[in-house]
Amino acid sequence: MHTGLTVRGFTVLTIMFTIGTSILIAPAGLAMDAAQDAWLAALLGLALNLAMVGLYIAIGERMGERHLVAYCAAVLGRWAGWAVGLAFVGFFYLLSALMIGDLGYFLTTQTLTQTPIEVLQLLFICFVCYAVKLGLRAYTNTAEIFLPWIVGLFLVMIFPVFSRMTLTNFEPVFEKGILPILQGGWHFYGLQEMVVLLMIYAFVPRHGRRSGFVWGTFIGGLFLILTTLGALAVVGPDITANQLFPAYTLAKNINIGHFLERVEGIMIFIWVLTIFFKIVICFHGASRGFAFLFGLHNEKPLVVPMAVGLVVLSLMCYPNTIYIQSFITKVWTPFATLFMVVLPLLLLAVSLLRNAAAKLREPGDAGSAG
Amino acid sequence: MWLIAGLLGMIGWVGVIELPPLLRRRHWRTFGLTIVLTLTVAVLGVYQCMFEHTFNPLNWITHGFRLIGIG
Repeated sequence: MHTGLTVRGFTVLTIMFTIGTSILIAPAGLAMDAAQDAWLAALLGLALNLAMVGLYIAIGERMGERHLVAYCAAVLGRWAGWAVGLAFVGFFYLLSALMIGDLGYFLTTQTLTQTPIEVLQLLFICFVCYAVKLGLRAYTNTAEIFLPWIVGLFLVMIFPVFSRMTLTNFEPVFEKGILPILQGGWHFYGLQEMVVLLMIYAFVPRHGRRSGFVWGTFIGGLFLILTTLGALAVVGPDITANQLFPAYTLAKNINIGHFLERVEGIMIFIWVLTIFFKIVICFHGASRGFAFLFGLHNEKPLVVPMAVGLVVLSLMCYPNTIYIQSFITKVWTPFATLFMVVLPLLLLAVSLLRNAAAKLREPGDAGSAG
Repeated sequence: MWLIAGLLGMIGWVGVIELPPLLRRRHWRTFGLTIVLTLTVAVLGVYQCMFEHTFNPLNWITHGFRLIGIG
């Protein structure tokens, strides 16, 4: 199916998706679990993520021209496929709502403290609606335009703080053993949700899309590891664990010759952009999946009510930051694992079994059976 | 207040921009589903304004996982 999407565009979307909200919230969780070994936990999380990408590629190559929700119906049958597809749509929608909530809380606690959170979220979803209505190719091209900005600003954030890095903040290595590192890596991987990209994988040209998926995940993961390393080295593991948004705290330390200071406002540009693209991809996946489940030709009329529903759902789900921190720490990773591991494995297993059964029923076997 | 304004804006947009083309093209399923979604979001939004955080899907997820000893 020709959508004009290129492998390069898909790779860029994957990078943006991987960075997403994780660049803001992941270092705190990693430091809370593994303290000064948070960077090792981030490496482990990246390895887990790449392993999951291998699973998604295996499923993606079997999907043909169908997206994930359509593939559920094709593999699992009408009713079971519909139920699993609806579960995926619900997950993507909930994820979008939680990220809208993250963004709202970030902006209202760190910068625009007097602005009502609903205003920021409603304004943001106007742009999300516009992007989804314009379509996959439009926002992919936009992502390609903004990627150099994100890389450049990220380097502006990291290089000036080199002089403030204290390598003793990483010691002692393995102080509390391997278990905290495994725990941190597990939570880190739970924040990635790369399964959403299977909603657009089928629209990427076959040649090169597998390596695009892997490289995009790897490069996005590198951004996260560097951010975690920077936060640990500059502010230390204790402060990193206690901050809501340690990357923002890191950006506050930028000071070039006492003339370039207070640039954290510009750094917000990175996070708003990456969060924007992750929300657009998740929301587009949810709306497209929803339209498929109900047999609609086009998801665009549903975009506006579903988008406002995101704001309503985010306000419902986010009573305060303590609640959401507790939810993310204790419940999110096991919950997300259902959709990132269990259901994809189920799809792959059933697909392989059906293929095996079809091969056994092939005409060439009729002579031996009879 | 801002959420109510957003809901009113949603109803206005859907009523003026989204629904007439669906009526003209006689896409009844999309038409009906758009209305149902819009009304559902409007009701939930008003409920959220009146009874903040009493209807939280994350609580159901948390309770579900606590039943199996997680969280």
